[in-house]
Amino acid sequence: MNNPVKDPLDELFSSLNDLVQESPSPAFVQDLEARLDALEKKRRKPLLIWWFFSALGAVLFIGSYFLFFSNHAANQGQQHAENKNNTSAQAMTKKQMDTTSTSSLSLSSSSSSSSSSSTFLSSSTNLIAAHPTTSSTLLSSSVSSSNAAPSPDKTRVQEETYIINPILLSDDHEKDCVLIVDQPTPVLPKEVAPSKKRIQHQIGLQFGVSGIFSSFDLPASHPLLTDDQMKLFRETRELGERNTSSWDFNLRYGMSINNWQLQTGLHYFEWGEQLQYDVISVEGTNRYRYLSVPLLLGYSFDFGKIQIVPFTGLAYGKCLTANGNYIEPQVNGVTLVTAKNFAGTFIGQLELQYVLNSKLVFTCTPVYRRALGPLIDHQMIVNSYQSLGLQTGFLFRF
Amino acid sequence: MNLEPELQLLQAAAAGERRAQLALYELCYPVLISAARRYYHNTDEQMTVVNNSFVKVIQYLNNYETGRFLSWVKRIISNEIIDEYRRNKRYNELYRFDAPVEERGAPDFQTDQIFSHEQLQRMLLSLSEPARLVFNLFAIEGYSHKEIAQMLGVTEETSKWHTKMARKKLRELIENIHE
Repeated sequence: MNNPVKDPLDELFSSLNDLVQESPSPAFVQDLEARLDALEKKRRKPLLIWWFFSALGAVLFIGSYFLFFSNHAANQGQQHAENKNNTSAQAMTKKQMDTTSTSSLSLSSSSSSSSSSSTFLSSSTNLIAAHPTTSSTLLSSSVSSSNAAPSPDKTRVQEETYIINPILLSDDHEKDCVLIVDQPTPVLPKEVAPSKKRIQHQIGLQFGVSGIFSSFDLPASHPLLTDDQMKLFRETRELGERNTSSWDFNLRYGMSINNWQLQTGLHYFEWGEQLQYDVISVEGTNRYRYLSVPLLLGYSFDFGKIQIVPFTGLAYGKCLTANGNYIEPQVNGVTLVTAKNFAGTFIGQLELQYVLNSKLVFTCTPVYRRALGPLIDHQMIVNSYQSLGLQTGFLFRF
Repeated sequence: MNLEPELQLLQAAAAGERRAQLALYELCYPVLISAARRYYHNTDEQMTVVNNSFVKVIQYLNNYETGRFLSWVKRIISNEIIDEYRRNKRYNELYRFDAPVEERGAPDFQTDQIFSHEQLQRMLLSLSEPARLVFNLFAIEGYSHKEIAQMLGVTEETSKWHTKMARKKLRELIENIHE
């Protein structure tokens, strides 16, 4: 602070520092309230970001869970099917072998050796089936042995011969076994056989970001404004209002009938614009938040694991945040406006679906939206909004 | 008149309670508007600077610890006015008169006449913008030339020059009123 020895002139003017009690006019208070609202909106932003990342985390977690669960289920199903195939193949081979052994053993007169041989054959069914050549040799030897003089001792020797054969015990032969047994193709159980469903349901979550493009119209004339004032108002708004961006959220349910897809759910998005009116030193962002129910129809084009689904339709939504600020038509302050409580939106989107497995689908969707009709209830603020965005997420089919 | 607000009011205003904020605004308004009137003719400009300053008061209320609340508010509006001056690109006008100023003895100004606040404000507002800004900061708000030079990013000589020019003009105005 400066020297206490003051110029008398400075002393005279420093009396302006003395305070006079007075109250602000309503115009001051209204202007202040608009600015405090804008400040409050700014403060809420970090909270929204926190929600966004939490929700994104939840989607990734749920997506990973479904991915793991579906893969696990698919593996189990595959294993189950393989087991069943093996069992049925075993059953078939056993049947064949039983027939063979019966026919070969029928040549012998001893019923006890027949039962013994049968037991042995059933225990080594796979091995025999794996090597028809070997097995036929072995069988023929078995048959020839039984032809000669089937005795318990001889059968035991045969058993030992089969069991210790190293070729038959190797893994490669087990694989061959499956392949050979599968010829001719066995009839799979009904529940394992693939069948194409005509109707399929899906639920999903999507998040994304949109760029909002706002434009405005002014009435041709206004009873309280001259042409010059209208021009100034238009220019100030053109200079002071800019496009902004918003977070999108889509909790969706879908139903597909063949290639046709119907989509509905809950769709959160925003309209609005950034403000920076230098003439009155006001800045901030107008955000009109809507929670809508969309009804979209799409057609799926399949390219293997990738499907492209153009959707189009309408959404009708309830406004969650309706307050906004714009510059006064007289360009001397801020006017408060309210967005419509319910509003319609046209939606067009081109969805790219990547099928991760039979249950889970990853989606990436460019979305175009357009607000139907003027959104704000004000004679001088006639805004129209469009947005272009990208949403990503997961769908779970059931 | 004791206008210092209670701690509870400040806490409620900082927490975002609109009623408390408006009550605090009522309290700060005389300080804010008297500063704004010394710098701006136009009511809209006064309103802008008063309300922008008060929003900053609310924004930084959590940083305010102790001391004289209204002095803190005064400082905020002074900074806001300087920022506004910079934003409106009138800043370069300050550099026009960057010439050394002769130090003179005690000024010989004397007057017995009593002036109303309105008269003084009118005289002050008739000064050029840079002169008004520097004179306000030096003579009325009590900043030193060094502080003003730092705040405005000019030399001390420039600050002194503008003060001298403001005094000269104000003397002329007062003499004219006498005549």
